[in-house]
Amino acid sequence: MRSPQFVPPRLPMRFFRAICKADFLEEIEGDLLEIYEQKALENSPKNLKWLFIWEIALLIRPKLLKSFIPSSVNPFFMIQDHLKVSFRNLRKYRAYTLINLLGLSLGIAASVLLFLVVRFERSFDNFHANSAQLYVVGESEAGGKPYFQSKVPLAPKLKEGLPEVVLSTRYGGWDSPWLETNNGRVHEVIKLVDPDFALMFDFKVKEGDFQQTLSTKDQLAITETVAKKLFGFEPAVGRQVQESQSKKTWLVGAVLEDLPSNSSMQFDVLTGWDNRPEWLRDPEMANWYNTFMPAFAMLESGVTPEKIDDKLAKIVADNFANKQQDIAIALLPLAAYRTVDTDNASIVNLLAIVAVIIVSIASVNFINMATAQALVRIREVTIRKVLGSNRRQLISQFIIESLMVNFLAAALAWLVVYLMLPGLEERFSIELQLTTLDYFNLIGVSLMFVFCVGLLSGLFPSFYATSIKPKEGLNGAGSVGKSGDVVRKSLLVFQFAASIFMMAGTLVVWKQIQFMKEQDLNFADGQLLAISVNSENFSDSEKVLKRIKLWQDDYKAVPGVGSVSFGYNVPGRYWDNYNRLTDKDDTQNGLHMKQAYVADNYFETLGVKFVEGRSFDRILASDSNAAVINKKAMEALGWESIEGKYLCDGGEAGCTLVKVVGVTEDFHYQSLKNDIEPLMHYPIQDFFNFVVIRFEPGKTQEVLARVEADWRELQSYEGLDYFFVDQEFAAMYAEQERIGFSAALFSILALIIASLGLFSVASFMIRRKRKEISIRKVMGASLSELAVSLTKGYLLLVAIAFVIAIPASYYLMDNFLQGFAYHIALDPAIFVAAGGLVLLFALISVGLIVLRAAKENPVLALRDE
Amino acid sequence: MKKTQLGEFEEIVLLTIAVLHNDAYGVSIKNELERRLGYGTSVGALQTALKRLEEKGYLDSAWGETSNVRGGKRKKYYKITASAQKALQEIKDIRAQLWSEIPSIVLKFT
Repeated sequence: MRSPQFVPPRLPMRFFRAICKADFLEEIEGDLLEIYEQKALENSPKNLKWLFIWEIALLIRPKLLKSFIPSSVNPFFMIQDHLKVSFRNLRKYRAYTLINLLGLSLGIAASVLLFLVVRFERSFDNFHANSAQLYVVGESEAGGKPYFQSKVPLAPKLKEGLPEVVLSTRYGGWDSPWLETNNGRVHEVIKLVDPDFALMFDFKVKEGDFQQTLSTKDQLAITETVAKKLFGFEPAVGRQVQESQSKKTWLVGAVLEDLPSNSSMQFDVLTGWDNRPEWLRDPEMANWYNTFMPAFAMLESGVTPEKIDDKLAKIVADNFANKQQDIAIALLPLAAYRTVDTDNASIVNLLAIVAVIIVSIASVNFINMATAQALVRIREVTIRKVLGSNRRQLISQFIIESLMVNFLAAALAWLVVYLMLPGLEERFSIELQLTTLDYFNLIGVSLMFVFCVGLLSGLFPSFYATSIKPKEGLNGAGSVGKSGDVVRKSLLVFQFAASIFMMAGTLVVWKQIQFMKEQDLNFADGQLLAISVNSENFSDSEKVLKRIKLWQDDYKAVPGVGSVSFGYNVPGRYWDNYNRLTDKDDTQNGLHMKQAYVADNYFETLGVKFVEGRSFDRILASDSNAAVINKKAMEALGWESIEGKYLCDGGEAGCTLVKVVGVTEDFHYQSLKNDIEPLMHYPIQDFFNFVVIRFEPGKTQEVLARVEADWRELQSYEGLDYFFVDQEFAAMYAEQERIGFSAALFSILALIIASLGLFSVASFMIRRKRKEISIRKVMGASLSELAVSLTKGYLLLVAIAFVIAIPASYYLMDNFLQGFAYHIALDPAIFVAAGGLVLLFALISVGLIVLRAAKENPVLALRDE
Repeated sequence: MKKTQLGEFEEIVLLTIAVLHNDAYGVSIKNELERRLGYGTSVGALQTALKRLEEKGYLDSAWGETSNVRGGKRKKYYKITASAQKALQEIKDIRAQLWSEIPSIVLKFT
């Protein structure tokens, strides 16, 4: 007797039996057993097992393997025959083939497109070799959200003071001057950076020495596009460029390739920090007090901002102005720059989820339909069996058939993708810049995907269609039991849950957009014309600005014009410009406030109401040191009244007292996505960026015509640039509307695909019940009774789906809404509406089939057999 | 000569079977080979060689008796055929001839 330890592991043995040629099996198995017993005496059980497995692995040799192609059948003809039969079948059930094809290809196309968008969004700024070590230098108040601005001297200080900071650069904006050559004149985005910029970021250099350029006086680095505009096709490096207004000359030191569209930094011209304009040299601006300068830092590999927290705090303690000691330096990963900047991380995740949902609905659909369809083909399968097909041949027939449909669907999907790509890029305003390699990869992945779906959807039905005994099969399809029903039904539940989920999501997004658009902005946003005035656009800007200021009086005589004012800012275009001010009487009581600069008559023109105090007065000389704050600011300062209140605007030089003359209502000066912050307005006299004009309803054309005529007299380099404030606000929700649109589009698509699936599954399931229906009819059941009894099962599925979908969508939508400072409450009605809509679609698709079945002449079904 | 297509391993397997005479079956051949060569061969390698030699007509095989060792599986005994004998003889002759013609000076150094 052999003791039990001599029994070799079962699994490898079974594997061996499965692959070994039958003729050799007995001999080799015997050998294996004998060798195993020999080795069992010499080796530990664990080793023994592995030795055995190794031995089996070495047995995989062509000579000893079973042939997996039945020797009696020529595989070529077999496949040819299968293709022919498949084709006939597809043609016979034309409607289902079409539904199958459409559903699957739309699903694949939609998710490929979504995937491309998601991939693009995720690829932002990752083309820099050092992207993992790059950080945005920002600041944050205790407990507050960090903002991406810092103080002017901070970036160089970080590099100088901390060994962990390898490189750093500022990335300063500039009211870019016009540049000209004999060839052309351009007005582009010019940024001021430190020479480290060239080492930190991998923008490709086409010509010239990039780093050298950034550290040389009066040199510029320009992009290829700008070079073309300025120099045509001639080489640009070493050529001169002139500022239109000041006639200052610059030298082009380097030409960069155009920036990739997945870079969040988008500039046209760069110049070194040493070439910064006068105002940036002003110690009142470039100090340890004002926060407005974007900057980046590169940390040593392996160092995280947390590790140098203490050192950062020390830099704050040593350098920041006295009143700014509660501010912390925040280093945020470069990747966060894009996502926080555009606030779209949650949206991208949402799109990714949608892509997965759609493609799974579509493939579930396909599998479901395939299984249902197999039921009708039991007779065909049985006949094949009777004629001598073996099971493997039958299964391979089903698989070939579903692979065929799947590959067709993939081809169709790619056609759709190809046609939709330009539209998609426009809709999402992105440039995907797909390379040939990307296409190959994507096509490869989608082919692999359809191959898997094809295999699954072929395997599933083939197994049970082929497991029917021939005698029963020949008796008729009706004899099939309920096998597979549970699977089919749960797949349907999944589809409906996904549809309800997406519908609810769409409704929430739409309602939120509606809400934001309709929300009272707390000022009269209609009939407000804003004109952007860029002083760089005039040869003598001082004179022009003085001239424009006169409009305030000129326009009093113009019919249709209410009032005119000026500002550095207008609602919708308030800068991120913060400053810390303290209460004169209580220096501990300070507040970080957003700052804006406006002329007299500004609040009146906007229609902003005052809670207390008054607006600026042009005649009062004392008003040059006055401020108007909003209610939020007053509350934050804890003031009851502004009677005799002064704020202390303390630069490093000391404190300027600012008299608070008025408190406005909290009006929305920015998108409702963001909260209203404590805000203060300073008065301005001669300089401004915007003209705001209040006009009477219906006078739009007249007022515009007048402004345009006046603008021509000013001889600007550029045409009139204007917008309406209410439209500007609406445009802020473009991103949300885009999501809303995509959500609507894709959820309707998902719903249609799911309904198609239900339609075909139900029609096959009801076909099985033909006899039952006929007998009921003969026994006197009415049409409505039949309809109810046949439909209610499906309605139950929708109900279950509803219960599953609600918590998931509630959670996700709640999350989505939290991203908006002002948002709607999640109303149960939304979910009821989504569920109702899906129910309606389900009812229609099942109803059509039920009605047809119930109306059929019972004789037709009963005589079958 | 050209009809004798024997690989080195095949030749050794054939010779081993001849040596084992009436007791040549999978495991015994394997053990004998291991003993003489000093290293192991896998069942797979051996069986492939056996099957190939049988196809070439160098081996005859016959089933042994059923027994209750080796899981009740029968052994398959191998015997070399006349053509194998001839082929082995040819190879041996060729080698012998080559050996005899090696100049003695060559061998001295080795």
